[in-house]
Amino acid sequence: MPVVVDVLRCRLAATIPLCAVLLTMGSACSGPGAPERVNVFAAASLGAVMAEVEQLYEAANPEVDVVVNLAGSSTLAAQILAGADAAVFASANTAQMDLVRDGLGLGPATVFATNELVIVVAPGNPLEITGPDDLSRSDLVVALAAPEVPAGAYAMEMLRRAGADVAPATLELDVRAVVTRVALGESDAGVAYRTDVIGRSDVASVSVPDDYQVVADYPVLAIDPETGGPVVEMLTSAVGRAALNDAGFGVP
Amino acid sequence: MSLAITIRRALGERRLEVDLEIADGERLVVIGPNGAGKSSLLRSVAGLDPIDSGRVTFGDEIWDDAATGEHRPVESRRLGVVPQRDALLAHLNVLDNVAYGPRSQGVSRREARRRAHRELERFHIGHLADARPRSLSGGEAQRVAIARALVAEPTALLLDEPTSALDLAAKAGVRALLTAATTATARPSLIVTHDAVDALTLGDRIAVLEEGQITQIGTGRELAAAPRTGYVAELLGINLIRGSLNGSTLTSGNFELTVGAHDLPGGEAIATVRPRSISLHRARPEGSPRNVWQSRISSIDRTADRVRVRLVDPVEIVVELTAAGLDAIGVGEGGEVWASVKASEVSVTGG
Amino acid sequence: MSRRPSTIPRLLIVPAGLAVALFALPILALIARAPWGELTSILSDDDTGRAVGLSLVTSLITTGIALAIGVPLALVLARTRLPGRRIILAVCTLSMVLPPVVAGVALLSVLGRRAPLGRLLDDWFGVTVPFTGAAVVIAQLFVAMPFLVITLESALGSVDRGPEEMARALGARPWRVLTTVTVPSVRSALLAGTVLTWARAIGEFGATITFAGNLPGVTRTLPTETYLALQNSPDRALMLAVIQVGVCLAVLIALRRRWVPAITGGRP
Repeated sequence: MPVVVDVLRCRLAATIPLCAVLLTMGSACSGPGAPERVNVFAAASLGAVMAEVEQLYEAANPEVDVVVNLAGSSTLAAQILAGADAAVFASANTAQMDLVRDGLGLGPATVFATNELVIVVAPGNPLEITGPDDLSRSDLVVALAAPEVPAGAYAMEMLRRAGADVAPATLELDVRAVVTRVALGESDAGVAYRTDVIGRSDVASVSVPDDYQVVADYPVLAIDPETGGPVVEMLTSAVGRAALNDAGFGVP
Repeated sequence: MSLAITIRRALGERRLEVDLEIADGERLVVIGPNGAGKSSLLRSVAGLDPIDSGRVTFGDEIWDDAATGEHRPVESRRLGVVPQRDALLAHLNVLDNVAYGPRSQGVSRREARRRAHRELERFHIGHLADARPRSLSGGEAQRVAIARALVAEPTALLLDEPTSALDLAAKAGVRALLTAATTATARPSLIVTHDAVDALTLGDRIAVLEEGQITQIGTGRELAAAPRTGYVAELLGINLIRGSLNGSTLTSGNFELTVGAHDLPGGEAIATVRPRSISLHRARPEGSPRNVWQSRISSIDRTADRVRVRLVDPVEIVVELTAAGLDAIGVGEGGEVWASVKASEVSVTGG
Repeated sequence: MSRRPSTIPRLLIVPAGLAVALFALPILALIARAPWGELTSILSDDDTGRAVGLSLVTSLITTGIALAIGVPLALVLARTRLPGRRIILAVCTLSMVLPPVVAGVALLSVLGRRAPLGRLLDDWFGVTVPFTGAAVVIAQLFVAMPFLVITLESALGSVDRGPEEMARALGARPWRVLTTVTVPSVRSALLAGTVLTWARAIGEFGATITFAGNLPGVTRTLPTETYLALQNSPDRALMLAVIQVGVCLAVLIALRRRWVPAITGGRP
């Protein structure tokens, strides 16, 4: 597959006649005038950051069209392993990144961002929830992410460390649904990433003490070093770090 | 008790305006062309369709009164209804179809089935009890439908084209059954049909319905002798001669008639002859007609340019001819004439 | 066995075959890829048992309630001159075209803790609907019952009214007409609608996860269990999917035997 892709991919240097031939064959062809496409597969929580990086990168490299594909990390990993044309993979956890690296035989990835857990509560915190211990209160309806998804596993670990015996009302399939539950008032509290609540007025957050905090590492890897490498570079540069900070991520 | 019907209702762009009274034990046939409003009349009498104005009463029971809004729903009229076809409930066997009425009126299952059995036996179709409706012939199905209509001792019988979906041989059987079932009972019967033979054989009186209006009412004989509209003349003016059929000869008393081709087995039969098919002559005609007989003119009825001549002795028969034709023969009431008709103009149907 | 000569253009075989491939290939691939060696361990595992049990119980309750209220609805829509009945029918079947997640949000907007009706239930009876088995059933009803209503309504609309009128003329009151004539005359549509409703209910995912949430043994149905398994044990997800295919096939085949007599009126 990669060989075929290399042959068919029409680079800037390619001659116009060859391009014409490939076009008539119905092949995707980015000749002069049509910007080169770089597919960035990024965890859903990176949406805002990636939109900004895309804009900055395209401004600096007008011949390139960055296309961001947002989904859950495990979905993205499955797509990449099934042969999807990804130049960059930015995962919300190392496990899915390792799956991709093992599958494609790639080198180590770089941790470019961290995300910490917060307790999501209603605006103004009317039920006076001060920390993980309060989540075991029987008068609260608590929503967590399912342990099968990373945010859920981290939340379970954090609660275990805090010694809080929580009986959740629901285990959501993704972490944003936890925030939605609290925003709609269906749940009194939940555990989500700081990046999920930053800038929102329909929910408030309570910090988790450092002793119990479980930090999620976000690794990134250029699957195609030639086209993806510069995108990764921008993500880890000063502008990238600023964008990450704005979105509530920590940077190493 | 008698059934009194005064119905006014809109029928598309036409109106249905019918006033009829059916006496105890009387069979009244309503005959008319398609679209005349026969089925609508029957549905309104049954209470399935509302009336705009008028009344339907059975004895002193008020079934419908548009003025007061009084309405007795169909299920409370205790009617016996026989529709044209597909009368039976497909998922029940014959016995349970016949038992359906009594069951609906609160009779126990056992008793309802017992009555149903008795009714089927009465009509000699007891062997069909376990059959499914779809395995019955048209004639069998219609017999079952009649048994079902009668089993619950209905107040009145409503029959909608009871023989029109049947073949010739089956028509005869169903007609005979209906005649037997409605003779010597006190209940009024309303029969709707467009079949002249049905009308003449089943009707004590015949009401002619054309475009929503009753145009003529009377006995078959009265209508045949003096039809008031072209439709009546055309349809009801036919002569019926009952007799016994043997090969191509129908014998009625001392009168013999050679009939046209048929596939009946013989026995009781009805010959029908159109009045226009018969010729009158002053002297015995020569030549081909197989049926030639001498007869006496009992009455002459002149309408515009057509004349209807009633003959009696040896057989009652109506002949229609032009006024000029009658004048040419020059015989008046009470006079003797010769009548002739081709065998091919005489058709027979089962009696 | 004699067959009537075909009256359709032969070329239609091609698109028809494509359609068959579209349905058959994914199912066949699923069965081929499933790790059959793990069947017994997956079947005997507690999570699977809980999810299968919950799915069967909730989908059967849903089907029962759908019959209890959906059949009357279809009758009212098909047999009365209710003003605006077309609009009512449209409203009652709209959920068929809604994305299931939107259906879930819509249910939350009525029965959620902060929603008008949900708040009343909470204040008066201390009942909260979301995150309960009842919420699973309500979500299934919302998306699945239209299949029964629409199938039955159209059958009732096209069935010959003659037998019903005949039964009334014989003295049958409305309930008796309904049970002895009307329902038997639409028996196959009733059966088809019921099966469709049940199948849609047992496969329901989007509205359930949005409205009822996900908790093992309470609201985690087989589709949710399958979706979660896909996150980190795809093999288990495949096997669960095959189990769902198997359960549905078994029910459809079992009903097919009853279906054929229903259509042919008891003849083989």
